[in-house]
Amino acid sequence: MSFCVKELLKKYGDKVVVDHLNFEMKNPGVYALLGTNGAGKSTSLRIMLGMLASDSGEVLWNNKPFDAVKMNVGYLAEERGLYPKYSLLDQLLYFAKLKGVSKKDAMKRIQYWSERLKVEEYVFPPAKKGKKAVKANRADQLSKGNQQKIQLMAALLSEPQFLILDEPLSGLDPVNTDLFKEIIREEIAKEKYLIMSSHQMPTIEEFCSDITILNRGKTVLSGNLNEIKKSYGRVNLFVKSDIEIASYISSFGLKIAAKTPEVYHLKVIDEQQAMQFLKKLVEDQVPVIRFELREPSLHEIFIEKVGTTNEG
Amino acid sequence: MRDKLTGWKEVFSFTFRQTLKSKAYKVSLIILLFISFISMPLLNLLLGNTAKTIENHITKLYVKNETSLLGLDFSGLSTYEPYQTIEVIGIPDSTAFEAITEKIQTEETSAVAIWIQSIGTEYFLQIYYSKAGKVKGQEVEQFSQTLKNYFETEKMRLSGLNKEQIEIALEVFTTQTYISDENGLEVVEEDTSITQNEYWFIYGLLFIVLMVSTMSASQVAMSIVSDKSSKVVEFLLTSIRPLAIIVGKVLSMLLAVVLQLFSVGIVVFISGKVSNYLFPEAGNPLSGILSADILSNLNLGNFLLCLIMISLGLVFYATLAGLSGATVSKVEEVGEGQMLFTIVDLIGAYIGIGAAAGLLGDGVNGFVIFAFLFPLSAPYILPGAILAGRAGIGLTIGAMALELVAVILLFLFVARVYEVLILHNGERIHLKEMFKIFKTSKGGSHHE
Repeated sequence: MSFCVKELLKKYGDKVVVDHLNFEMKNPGVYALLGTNGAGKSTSLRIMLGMLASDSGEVLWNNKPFDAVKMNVGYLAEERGLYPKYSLLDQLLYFAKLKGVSKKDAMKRIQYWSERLKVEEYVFPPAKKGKKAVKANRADQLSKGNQQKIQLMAALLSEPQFLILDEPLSGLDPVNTDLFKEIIREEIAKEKYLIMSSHQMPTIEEFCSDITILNRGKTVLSGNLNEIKKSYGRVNLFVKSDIEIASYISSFGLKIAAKTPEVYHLKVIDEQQAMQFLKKLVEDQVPVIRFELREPSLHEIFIEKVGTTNEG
Repeated sequence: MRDKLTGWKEVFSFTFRQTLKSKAYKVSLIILLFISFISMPLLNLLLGNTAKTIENHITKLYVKNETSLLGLDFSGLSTYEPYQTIEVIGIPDSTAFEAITEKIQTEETSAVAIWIQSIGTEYFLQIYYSKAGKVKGQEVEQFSQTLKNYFETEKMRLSGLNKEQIEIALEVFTTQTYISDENGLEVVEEDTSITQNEYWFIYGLLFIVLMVSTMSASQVAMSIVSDKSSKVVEFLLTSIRPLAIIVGKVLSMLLAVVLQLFSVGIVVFISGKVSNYLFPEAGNPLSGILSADILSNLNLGNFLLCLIMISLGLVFYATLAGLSGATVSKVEEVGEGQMLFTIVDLIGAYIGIGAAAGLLGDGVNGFVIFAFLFPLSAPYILPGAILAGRAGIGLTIGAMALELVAVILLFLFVARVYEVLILHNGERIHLKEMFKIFKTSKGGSHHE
């Protein structure tokens, strides 16, 4: 089974919001769409889901047009949406029914996910005392985080083979972020196809094997994350010493990328240059506490590709 | 098409159930039911119709005759119900008459005095009664009608006619005009005009349809916009097509409003029963409008045709309201979005009202036929005209076919526009832009 996005193009008037997007998932796993706000991530996801029409290009599943309605697709939208005044249980049963899940199965799954996501008291509020409900059971009475949990639950109720998560962790506190991550990990382990968009680079590095970075609709980088990193080489050198080594670094001709009170982040041309620097340090008996040579992080790659002037 | 509609039943049942559960619906239903429940007894009280057979308190009649009919004898009034025991006393001159009227005001409050005069070729009959006594205006009105009828027969009796001749003279005389064509064959020209009562009946039905369409329109538009404003629609679109959403929503909101009005109808019926119990002598206050002759054309066939026409019309207008909901993205913009619906709805209703007035005057004419066939006005005028027997079966079926075509075309248009605007977030879309979307869109959303 494979999922393929080919030459996707979307314009609003003269403005190109998705410019010939291409990527492919040949195996189950997580694909990440990265980009700043307005880069075209959500629009691309909506086109994939058939909510928006593209001006050209196609989205294929096993070489046939991808139809989210016919396929069992779980979707967590960036703009969270629940009926504010309706009972949570009613909404979840409705969403499950639309996906063809029987009421009996839906109830079991809602029970399971409510416990798992720790929202049982809202979905199944305790018996009423007198006339007032003890706990809220409407969306507008829940915190943003809890609403997000209900939405994730709705996306998972049909046990979809394909999941699209648009900014799944935004706005969550650290405890709930870990809870969501755990669930995402479990879904990955079930050999599902996941497409995720996020601003949180560590999360992407944690889950995703393949990425596409979008900048104003254009693909600026695409491919396997490890290979991308390897292509950059180990050019980031982190050095810590007991003594001040700034003048030593500059005399060696190295560029300081950043400096914390204790650690210098240096850019080297290649590993050989780093090794020569280490050799020099040892020869000159400079006390070295840390000497770490590594590939650039996704964050660094992102900043390099997208720049810092694209916010908003 | 079937694929595009898959899931509409789920949308329909969920929206319908949630609407019934909503506080706004419950409160409005309770208010409507309460008003309906008290309507009939209240109407009887306000109209003073507490007794259907007006009780008679007139016991004595003073008569002052200033006509040339010297032998006028009102003692024969005792043969009329309910004046069997009435005492009739003649008054010789005007001084005595003034004294009598004064007496009626103060002492003899159950007596009535009449003064009959002849001026030129006309007769005038004046009635005096006491406001302070038991005799009420309605009784006097009824009594004056009896006096008038009695006076007519007395006039003929004094002219020398016997009882049989008087009966012949009082028989109803009707005329009918026949036109013949150039071959001398009769051209039948049916009188298709309606009575005042039928006019009010058609007008009433038109008003009910207008009320349902307006109420359901705002519900449909709100329901569609709330899906968009709450962003739920994005989630729904991963499970069903836009057409299924709009069909489910339009039909569910329509049913909710129809159910509300059906409940009102039942409660009005119960209210009538309660009114009969509270005022056993009182009649139905609506009987003046819903007289038996209006419903003489009512049969199962006509009733079904009327129901189908109303249903088609309501679906047409609810779909139009769906379009209003699709063109805006926030609940607070619904009113603005409904401008198109309001204009179209009022055009339809006013054409219907104009056609009803046309029926009252000339009967079925060119404008009335246009109103019967025009999809905007047909739901308003045709149901009443069918029940009043003023719309032929051919015309009715033709109008229904046109309405059905209009509903289908509108649905296709709305579905197309809705599909494009479903994720629309921005200013209200105007009609010109909608047509542009319809013509050029390949499907998908529109962003501002």
